[in-house]
Amino acid sequence: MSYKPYEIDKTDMTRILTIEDDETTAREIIAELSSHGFEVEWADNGKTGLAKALSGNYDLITLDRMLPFVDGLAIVTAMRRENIDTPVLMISALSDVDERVQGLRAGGDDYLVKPFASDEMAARVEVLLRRKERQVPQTVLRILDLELDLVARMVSRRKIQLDLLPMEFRLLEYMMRNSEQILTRTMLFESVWGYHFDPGTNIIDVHIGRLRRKVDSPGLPPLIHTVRGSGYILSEHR
Amino acid sequence: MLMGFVYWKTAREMTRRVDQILILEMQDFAGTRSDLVPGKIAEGIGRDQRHIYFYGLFASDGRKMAGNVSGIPPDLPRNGRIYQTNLISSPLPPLVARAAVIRLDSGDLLLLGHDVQQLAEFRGIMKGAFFWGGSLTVALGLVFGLVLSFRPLSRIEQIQRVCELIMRGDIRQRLPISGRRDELDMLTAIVNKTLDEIERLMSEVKSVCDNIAHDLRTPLTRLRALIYRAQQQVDAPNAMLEQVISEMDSLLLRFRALLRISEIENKQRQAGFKAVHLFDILEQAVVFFEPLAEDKSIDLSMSAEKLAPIQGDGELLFEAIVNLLDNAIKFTPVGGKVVARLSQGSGGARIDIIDTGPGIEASERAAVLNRFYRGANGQCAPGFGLGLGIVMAVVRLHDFEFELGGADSGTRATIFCRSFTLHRFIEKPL
Repeated sequence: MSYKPYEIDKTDMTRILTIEDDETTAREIIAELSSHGFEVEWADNGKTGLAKALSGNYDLITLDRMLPFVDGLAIVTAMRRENIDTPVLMISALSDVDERVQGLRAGGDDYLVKPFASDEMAARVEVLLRRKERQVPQTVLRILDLELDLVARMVSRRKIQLDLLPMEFRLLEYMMRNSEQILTRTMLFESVWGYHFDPGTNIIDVHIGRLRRKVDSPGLPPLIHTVRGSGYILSEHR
Repeated sequence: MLMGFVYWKTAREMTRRVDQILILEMQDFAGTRSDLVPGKIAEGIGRDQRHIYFYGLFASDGRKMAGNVSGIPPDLPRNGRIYQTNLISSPLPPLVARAAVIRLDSGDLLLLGHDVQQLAEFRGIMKGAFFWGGSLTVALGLVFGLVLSFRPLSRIEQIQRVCELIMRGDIRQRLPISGRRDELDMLTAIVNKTLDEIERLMSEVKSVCDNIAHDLRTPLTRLRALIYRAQQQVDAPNAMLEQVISEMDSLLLRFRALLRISEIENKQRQAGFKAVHLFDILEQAVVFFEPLAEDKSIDLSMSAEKLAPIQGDGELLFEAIVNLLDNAIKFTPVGGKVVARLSQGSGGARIDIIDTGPGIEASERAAVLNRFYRGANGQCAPGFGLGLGIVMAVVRLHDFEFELGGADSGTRATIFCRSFTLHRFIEKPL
């Protein structure tokens, strides 16, 4: 089964609900997501937000934790109780690991700390939207002539096996699962290494660099691209 | 002392009285006709029921002529002055007496003596009393003195220990007050109040610092967002805009690190500690940095024993080690060596990160741990000070110990994974 890159179907616009009480932040979110082609609706308090969320009419919800009337955690808990599985990106000024764990346990799918970079937020939204689409479990990930066998733990390009270290394998796996998506350095670090602090150096770049040397050997069409200022993308385009 | 004084006064008085009696007797006998002297002696002896008066009349050749003493003691000067001496007067045992010898007109020697055995006995009693009383007092005094001296000493030891904790950075400690309301307690109370004030001031400064970092982050993030959007809108990639974004990211990183340090310091996360395997954490960190080391042709290796798990926060420890490795690799020149070692030290595990970089001057080592410091060598390496700040915050949270030392040529950063408090005060007593 060939692997089709995810495309936003413009006739069936993706609808996103933003529940955010701070106007400036809300405007930023709306601006960024609109520029990605999404339709964004805004609720500026917990009560309205809860009502809209429970309607189940959205493809994704960005949810601020600190809201007037009903707080974010209560909203997502209520949603999950009603079996509404809309993906939720939690946004909060509380960066403590405990708070993050609490948010995710309540039913959130991802957690972003304020203040955030807009491109980081957009990247995470895209990944969450894609996650929802991809329900079919796969044993082999493919993009162009690159194949990753999840069962055999082997990677090959043009049928020639690549020799990857365990960390490199995981990195490539994550990028392939989210191909055609911009992945920020923080997202890569979190997903591959499991830690939630900022490593602060260009260490991620170096890891990607090493992976690139193995995957994008000279002569082959490059798959791993740098998105200046944001992160990386595994794509057969560009 | 009082007893001594009493004894001395009493003894003197008794002696004086005795001497006076003797003087009177001497005068009396001196004025008597020589041939009447023996009679007078006999009279005196006959009158003396208590046998306390002694007389002796001796011819110049020593022959006894009258009296109740056997002889003149040879050590008794014959000058009419009163001395204390031993007399023999049978049937009595030798006794102590005050006596004087005078030469009569006839040429004979007359000894007059008065028993002071009583006095001697009194002296004995006094001596005994003095001795026993004295020793008892001295002994009791010594015991109390020792006991009393222990108490303030151990209080001072306690105070010393708390001060050490304070100097190490735990400003919340307070000196112990015994409740006895003595001068030590008063002083302790004053010091505690001063500490309260210092803690308040420090907390204010920290708060201002944090607020600045926090307040600057949001507008900076917005600025970045604007530039980013501007960049999206131009068709061709603009190198200048990219550079601006990169600089802003570096700035934001620094703020984030600052706030991270605050976050870690404010954690009461010891309750959230779990069993962690230092070997796994160290290995993960080393693997993480392998590509970076490779790029700089640095030989990064790990030498570690698989130790028993310890209580801690795995994520924070990983973060601390990542910071140390980052520094090590940053400051080691191309072709150098970095070793990550895990071994069992005294009292607990120890993690050493050793590099062959230029090293840190001994005088700079303490200053380097200051949040904002950048050593002389660190001008071109951003984030040096904050990285160690994070390490220190993590180490303090775990109650571990951190040490920066110099290896032969280079730097050795060590985390001692043992309780600082326990180790400092119990295993290494003051």
